[in-house]
Amino acid sequence: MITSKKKNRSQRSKPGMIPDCAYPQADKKCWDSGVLRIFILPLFVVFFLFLVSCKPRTQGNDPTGSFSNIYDKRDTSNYTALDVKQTTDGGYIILAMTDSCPYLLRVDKYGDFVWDTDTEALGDYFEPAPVVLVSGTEYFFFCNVIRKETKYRHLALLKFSEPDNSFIEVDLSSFFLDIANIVPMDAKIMSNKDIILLALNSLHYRVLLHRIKPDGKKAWRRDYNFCISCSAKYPFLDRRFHFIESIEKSEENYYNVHSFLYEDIAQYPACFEITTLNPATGELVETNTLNKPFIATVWHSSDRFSAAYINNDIVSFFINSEKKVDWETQQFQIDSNEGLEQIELLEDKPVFIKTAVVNGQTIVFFAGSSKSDQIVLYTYSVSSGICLDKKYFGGTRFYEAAGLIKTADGGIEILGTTYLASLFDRICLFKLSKEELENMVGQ
Amino acid sequence: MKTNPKKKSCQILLVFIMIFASLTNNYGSKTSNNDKCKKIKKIAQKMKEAYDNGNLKGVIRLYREDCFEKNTKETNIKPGKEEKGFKTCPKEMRAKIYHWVVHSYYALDKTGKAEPYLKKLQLLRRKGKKVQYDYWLPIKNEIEKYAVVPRLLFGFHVGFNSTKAHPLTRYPIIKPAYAMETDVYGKEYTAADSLGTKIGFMGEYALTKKLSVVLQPSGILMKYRYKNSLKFDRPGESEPITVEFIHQQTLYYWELPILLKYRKYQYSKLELQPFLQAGVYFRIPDPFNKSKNEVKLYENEEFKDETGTDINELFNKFNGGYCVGAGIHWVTGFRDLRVEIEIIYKHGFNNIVNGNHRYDYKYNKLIFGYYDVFDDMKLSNWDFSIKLLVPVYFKLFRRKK
Repeated sequence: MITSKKKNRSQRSKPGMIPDCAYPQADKKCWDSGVLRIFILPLFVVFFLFLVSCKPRTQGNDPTGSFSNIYDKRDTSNYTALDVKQTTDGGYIILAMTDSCPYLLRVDKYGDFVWDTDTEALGDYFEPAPVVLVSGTEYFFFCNVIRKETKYRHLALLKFSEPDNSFIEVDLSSFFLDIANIVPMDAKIMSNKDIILLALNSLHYRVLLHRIKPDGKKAWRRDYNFCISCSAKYPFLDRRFHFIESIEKSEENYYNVHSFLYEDIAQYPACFEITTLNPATGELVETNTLNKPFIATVWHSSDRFSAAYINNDIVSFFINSEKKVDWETQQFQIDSNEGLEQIELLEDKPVFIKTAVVNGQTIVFFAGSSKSDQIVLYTYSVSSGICLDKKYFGGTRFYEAAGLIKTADGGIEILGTTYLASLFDRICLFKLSKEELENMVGQ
Repeated sequence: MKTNPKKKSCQILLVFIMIFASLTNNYGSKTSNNDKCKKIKKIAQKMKEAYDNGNLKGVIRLYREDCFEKNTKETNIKPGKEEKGFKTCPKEMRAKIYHWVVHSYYALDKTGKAEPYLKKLQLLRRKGKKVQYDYWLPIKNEIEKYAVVPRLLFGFHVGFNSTKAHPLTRYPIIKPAYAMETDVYGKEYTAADSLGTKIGFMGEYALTKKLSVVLQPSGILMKYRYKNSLKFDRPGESEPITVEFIHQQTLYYWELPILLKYRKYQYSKLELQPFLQAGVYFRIPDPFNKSKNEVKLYENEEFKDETGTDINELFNKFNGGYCVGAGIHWVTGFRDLRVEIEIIYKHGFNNIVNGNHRYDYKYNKLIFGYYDVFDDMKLSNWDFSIKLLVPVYFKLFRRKK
């Protein structure tokens, strides 16, 4: 007999009767308190969890800092990505081409839309060079325009001021007003906002190197001829062969300019040269001829470089190679056996290259477009020359690389173009965070 | 090595059936020990005579000497251990013995000692044993204060479910390159075009005569779908070009719901007992079946693709939620078998998507092919189940006054 209730004790003493609380579970008050324990407490827990589970429905971003974005304009135009740069606030400015007209898209650091340009307002301009220059909140790019006076193709430098939300065409009359058929190839902006431009004159077969002041005035100007056979052998408008790369030489920043060969020193079968240029004076410090073209280079020092090189229609990578020059002919010596052939890459698409220090290792990143319609990111160790990782961006749809930059937070970003729903070209942007790069590289 | 899901399901079902068969065979078995039963019958007769003669202690002594195992003792709370031969006698005879023991203890004012025998007596008159014996009448009023309830039930269940996903935080891969007033790139979630299924076993433990705890471990297959729409406005045309990607996802989980069930005891003469239940459930991915995604592009037949993509790594290894439901418990009358029909609504507490793998191209094969990354989401289900249950043993609970 187990009970502590007085009432039940009194009932238990009556002979021949079964007490009300003879069995422990039969105690009504015990039963009630059991209900409290069994029902009320779990109900509170369930209610609490229900409240916790009802988070606001918001748009989110990858907490790792990485993102994969495809930008849709909801129209039937094609948007082909050309270049991306990081802005001073950590966001990104993307230069693209829509139906051959220039188009700027500004996104924030998460890759979310901030503003873009009106394609109709820039309808007179066409074929922008695949480089956007950032100077504070001003963005520059070169393109072409048909002047009404001449009805020829002329060079134009457009400046977009973000605070004013307006475009200005920089007056280049001191350089190019009367010169037609100039095709911009690459440009670099310097700390004092001067711009170095590499362009080709398609009418007179000349390579043009100019330093332009922010107001469009001339700082210096250098140009030289190149032979017709070179432009016949390598497409004139293939901008992959004409680029400027900064290089530290004698503790100063110089530039290596890769373009068609200076005709006066042409030596068969060379078509290209690397010109080392003093940006202050425009002085040509050194010129080295090349049998086959580089399509991207990065200089680790004045005599060591990594590059993407085209040999027999195959893209090869050189990792931390030594610059070897035949001093008699001034020819750049390339050892084909040293190159790492990338059979999967399309040989007629650009390759982008950047170096970064990840986990204490100097790494070279290559981004290119594969034959299986994917963007490929290669990660090579400079010290060992070993491929540490390879990432593919793309699958059943068409994706093509258009840019590669290092970001201020230690990550990298890949710009590309995809063929959205197999219908229209769209800009895509992939950010790999510092943590993700560290995982790729390992310790 | 690949495991055939159908084969696996058949094996699990076979195990359930075997367990179920063994339970039903053990329960309610009858003895053919006639000699022992004749002896018990005589003892019952002797006990009646002793009771009529006022020899109450003699009644109890007879029970102890002839029905207990040797060297066993009776305490105030627990009766002694009965002989196997006694236990296998027909219930009517055992009921008579308990009846005289109960009466004797009452007459001796030892109600506590009478209590266990009163319960045994009540347990013997559960389903199938109608009240028709003379021993019953004197203590009928007292004994009916108690109810016999299956203390432990065991069985299996099958059912189907309709599942819907609810986005918590949206993660579109396609972003607008224009100021957008409404979220035109958000997914539209709906139920799938076919139902999911589930199979499992269950145990139910009675806490009181109306309240019990239910465990229903099961393998569950859930299906839901969502639609991604892309629209491209054409100049001069009112109707845009529309491309729709319809994703149907099939998820395999192992699920453990823990429920508190409140049952209306003996609701009608048909012994249909409606019940309500509430509780929580926990799920882990089924290691034998990979969750998959199928894409259907109805609008563009040329791009139609129904290939299943493995999406197992895109989900968290654990999720849970709460569930509420109702149903009908039917005591069939055949060997105490019970059939239950229930409907349960389950709602997830937490996000089921693994955020670390959302943008990881190694795991998410949908990013580039179909411009799809998973939103943070939780699932809700409407589950309909049919259960077959067998009581393992019973317990006496006091009825409410």
